[in-house]
Amino acid sequence: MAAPGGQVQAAVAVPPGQAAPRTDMAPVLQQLNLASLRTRTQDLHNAISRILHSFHTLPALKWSEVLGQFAMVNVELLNLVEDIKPILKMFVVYPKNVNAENATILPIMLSSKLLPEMEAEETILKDKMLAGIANLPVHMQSEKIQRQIELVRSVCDGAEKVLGEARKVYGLSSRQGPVALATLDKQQAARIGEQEKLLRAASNSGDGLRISPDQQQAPLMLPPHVSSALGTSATDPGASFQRGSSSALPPSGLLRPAAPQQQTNPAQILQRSNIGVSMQPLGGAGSLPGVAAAATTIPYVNSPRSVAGNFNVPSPQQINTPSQVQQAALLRQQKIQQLQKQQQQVLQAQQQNQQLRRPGTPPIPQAQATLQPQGHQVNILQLQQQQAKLQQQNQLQQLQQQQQLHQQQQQQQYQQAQQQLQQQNLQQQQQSLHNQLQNTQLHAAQQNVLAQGSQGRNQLNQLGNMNPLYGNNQSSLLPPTMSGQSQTLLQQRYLQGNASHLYNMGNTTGNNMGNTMSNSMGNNMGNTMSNTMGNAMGNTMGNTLGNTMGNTLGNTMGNTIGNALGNNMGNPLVSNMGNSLGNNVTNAMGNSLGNNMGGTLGNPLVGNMGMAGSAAQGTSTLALPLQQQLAGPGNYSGLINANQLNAFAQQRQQPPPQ
Amino acid sequence: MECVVQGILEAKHVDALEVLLQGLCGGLRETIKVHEICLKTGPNLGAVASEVHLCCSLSQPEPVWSVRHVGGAMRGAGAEQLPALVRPVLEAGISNNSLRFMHALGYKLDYEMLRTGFSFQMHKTVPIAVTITIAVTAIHRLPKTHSVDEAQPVTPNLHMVQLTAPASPDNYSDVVGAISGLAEYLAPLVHLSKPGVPAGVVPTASTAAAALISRGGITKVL
Repeated sequence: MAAPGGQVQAAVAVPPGQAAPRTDMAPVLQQLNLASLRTRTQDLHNAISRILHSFHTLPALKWSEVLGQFAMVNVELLNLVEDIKPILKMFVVYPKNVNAENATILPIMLSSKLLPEMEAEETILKDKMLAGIANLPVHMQSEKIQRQIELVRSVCDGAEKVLGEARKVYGLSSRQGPVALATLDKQQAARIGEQEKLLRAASNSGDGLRISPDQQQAPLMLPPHVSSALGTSATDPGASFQRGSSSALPPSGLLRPAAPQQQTNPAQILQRSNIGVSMQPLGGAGSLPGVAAAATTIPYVNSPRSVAGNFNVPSPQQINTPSQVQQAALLRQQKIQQLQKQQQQVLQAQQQNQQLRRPGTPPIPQAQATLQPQGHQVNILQLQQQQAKLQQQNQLQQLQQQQQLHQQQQQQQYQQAQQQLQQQNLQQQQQSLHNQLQNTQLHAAQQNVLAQGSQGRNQLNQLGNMNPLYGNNQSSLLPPTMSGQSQTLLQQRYLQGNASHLYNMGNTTGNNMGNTMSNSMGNNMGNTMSNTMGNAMGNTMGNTLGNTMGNTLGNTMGNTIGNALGNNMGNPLVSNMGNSLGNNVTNAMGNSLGNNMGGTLGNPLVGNMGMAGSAAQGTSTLALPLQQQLAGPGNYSGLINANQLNAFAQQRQQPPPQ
Repeated sequence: MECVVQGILEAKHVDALEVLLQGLCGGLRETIKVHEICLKTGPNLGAVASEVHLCCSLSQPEPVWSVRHVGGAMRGAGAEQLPALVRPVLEAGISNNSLRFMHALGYKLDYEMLRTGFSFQMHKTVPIAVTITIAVTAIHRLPKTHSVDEAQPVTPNLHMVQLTAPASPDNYSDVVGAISGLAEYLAPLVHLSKPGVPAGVVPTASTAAAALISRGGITKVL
């Protein structure tokens, strides 16, 4: 190769005066990376020498390794040559010693010029060959050389035969020789062609990989990576696979409803993932009608698809607990409510017998005026109240112990469920109650109330206790057990503390009444009074009542109570309070409560709002179970003014300031 | 974008090809076990169906998910003359909740397959510095949805050989040249062509395979 040897010469031979042609070869100049070529050449040389060394030293070499190494070396060499070729045109061989003798044969010499190493080897070889016959004449030398050539040729032929035989022995067929199966059979070729089509189609477009819906089968166990991807447990084959297969089958693209198994899965993640996902029954579950089946598992409150039993659940603004927890709690509480209803029915029946109806509050002149005719009966009532207190204290303690466990959790929820029930009953009765209250039957009712003072007393107690139960203003009346309730409750305690001063409410009677009221009211889920009280009171009435109680005013109380009650649940109590009380709390207290106490207290809580027949109705329904008693119009006026009634009654013990 | 050529190889010659690739590419063999889930949007999402491939690599202890979107091949007279297919491809790693996510988006299972095999990477410098990935895989179908353990090969006797190289719109021709250069090295064993064009098998593949895999050692040269 003249190029490597001539490179150095050529680089020098190019006169600097010929700078102009260089610029034309600028792109080639970029490829002129002699340094890299040099290193690559050197590396290749080292690799080849290393491989040769391993050939000589390693006894057990495999063809695969040898060929691999050969391939690498070959590739590298080819790359080198490719890289050098464009650079070669930059170099020229510039012979120096050109004279007349060399001029003609110079091209031949250049084309066949050997490397220095190769020249040295050749001279050595020549000397060795001609050493023995150098002194002989030329023709003899040529004869001897010819004989040596023949000898070498025969050896080479023999070696080639041996190689051929070795190849056959080791199964290495000749690469250049004709191959037995150069062409495939047509059948085989066709078969392979079809398979090739299959394979290419499957790999590129998925043909042949799609499974029709009816042929899909659910795997017994999802692979771990898929199960983790789908967020299911791999050990739940049916349900998990349902989710794992939560993908429509492609050709039809139909939305299929969830299999029934999905609905049993309590995992919320899965249920959420089902939203918007077409769950498809696999494994022959069959097509179920309707996509809504998938959505039925969504346990959201206020959703039309939520579990039946969330009657008119109020908006989350009114309820701060999580909807899901609420829902579960609601179900539980509804059951508990039913149980407690039965319990409280008995209790209320007992308490109502002991309740006293409270006359109007002294600070309200109108109430006093109307109630004065009945003052002589107040003393009797007061005595009865005291008797009721003692009895109620015992009952309260028992009830409180039972209720403490459930109160806080159930209060709002009770209200919710009860509101629904109440509204159904109460809304029907509101207008009738309005009319009744506004009648002059108040007086008649008051008499009935007085006659049934014990009953009213109980109701008042219950009513008074309603407030604390539902975070209302009668916190001051609450026993210590009730202290753990809402903030409003605490506020109301303060307010009622003031009220108690005014009304001597901070007494045991008030406490007892409040306790009995709250306990009974709280326990009696069917008690519309408690419910309405709780709803109204808890939200708005508490503050209003507390304020009013503290202020001892009729106007504000009447308005606030009426308004608050009216704004709340719309229960008859509210409306009745608003209407009956008007601006005169005492009147409302005395009249409505009196009426309620007499008539409705005779009825358990829900009692008759109607005044005229309330007494009779009240008494008639007294012994009835609570639910039946609730059927009557709700007596809610007494609920709110329980504390007021207490205060009034107590102050009634003293002659009203006149 | 990527340039891709495909070919088929009989299963009995896969070892020979592995030897050849090992010599050509330096020996870094990567095992392939990819559960490929192809998702397609339903008719309710847009006029044109969108298709994505979720690939879960199971060769590592932890499954590695990736999403891949394959675009349409480049068209035109120039593209037809190219020996390789040039198409836009988007690929990204993704977390393992991708399946649920795609389901939530409205994608439905179109088909799925399991690819098992090996791959090599060759770094070429001429005509352009590019890394070509040579993947030799067997395609399996899953008779039961997601049942990777019960995979059955689509063609038991044939494997898929695929050469892919990343490209950009301005150098794809050089990349195609690099791929074709590499394909020449593999010519004794496998014919490579564009994905949609069948190429058949090499008749003398058995010869080349036999040459690559020997059962004896080297005898000392005379």
